[in-house]
Amino acid sequence: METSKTLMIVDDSKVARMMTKSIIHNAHPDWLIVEANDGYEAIELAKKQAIDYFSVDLNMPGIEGFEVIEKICTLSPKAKFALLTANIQQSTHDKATKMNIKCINKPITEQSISQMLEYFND
Amino acid sequence: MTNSVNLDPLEEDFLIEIFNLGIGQAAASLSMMLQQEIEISVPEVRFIKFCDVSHHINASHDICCVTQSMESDFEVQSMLLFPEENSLEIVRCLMKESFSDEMILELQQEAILEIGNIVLNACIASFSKAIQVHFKIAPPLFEKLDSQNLSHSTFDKENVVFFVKVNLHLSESLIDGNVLFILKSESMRILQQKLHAILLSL
Repeated sequence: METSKTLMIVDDSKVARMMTKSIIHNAHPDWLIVEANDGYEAIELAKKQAIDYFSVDLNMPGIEGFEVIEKICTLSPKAKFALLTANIQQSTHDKATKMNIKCINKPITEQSISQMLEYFND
Repeated sequence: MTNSVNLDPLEEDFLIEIFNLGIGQAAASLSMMLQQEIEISVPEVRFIKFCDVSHHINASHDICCVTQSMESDFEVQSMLLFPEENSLEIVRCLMKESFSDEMILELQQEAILEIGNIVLNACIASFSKAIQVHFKIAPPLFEKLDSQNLSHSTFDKENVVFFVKVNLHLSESLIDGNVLFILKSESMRILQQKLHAILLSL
């Protein structure tokens, strides 16, 4: 039987968070989904709560996705991270691969979120 | 086609190809987001000065504008413009679930920012790949404009604009969209050097 997980969506767009949350909730209704609207909030929440999976946007005000992941990695070394981004430059994918992060292209669709969930559930 | 910015025909041709690919990718992404087929017209690409932009857009409507700045060894301001009257329909398509009119209005700006983010990044990726440059991209910003305050914006009238006009046919409407890449003269000079080097190597 699947164990319930906690997943954090880090995205400055409320609409992006709503769409991501809705698709994940349909696939895993028992998962707890936490939202952060920027990197600073994500880091603060990660200090207070154990999170299994992170879906992180790249281009956010203040602190960008790669830096957020680096900081949270030290707090939650066992967590898995996916970068969910509209920035589809090859160099972005290359950097994610080097950091051992799954990079998934927006737009947010059932297919792109399924890709992310497969990675988390692997 | 108008070229008031000193590009030679090969450089023009190269840039048109880059934007055609970018718009194609953007339409594919939009189609996935909105879950409907989107037909796109062949994009019209013009190379103009910023002071002439308002002559090329439909000035009878308020305009939704998403801007995103991109930076490498030169700077570009990318911009997506489309008439506000179409925006609520797009938001409804995007959100799928039946929200009240109040909720749709509340989400309008966020939804358009997300759409702008996808469309502009598709064009930026095509541009980045073709000229082999990685851009640091800032988060998107939303503004409502009319043609008058567009021409009074912070851009210098002499800034170079790659102006892409495209018609998107959704199932129930036709949306005129414009993608602009705006460069200061020094950035344009650096870009032209890169284009020149790439074309020489072919």
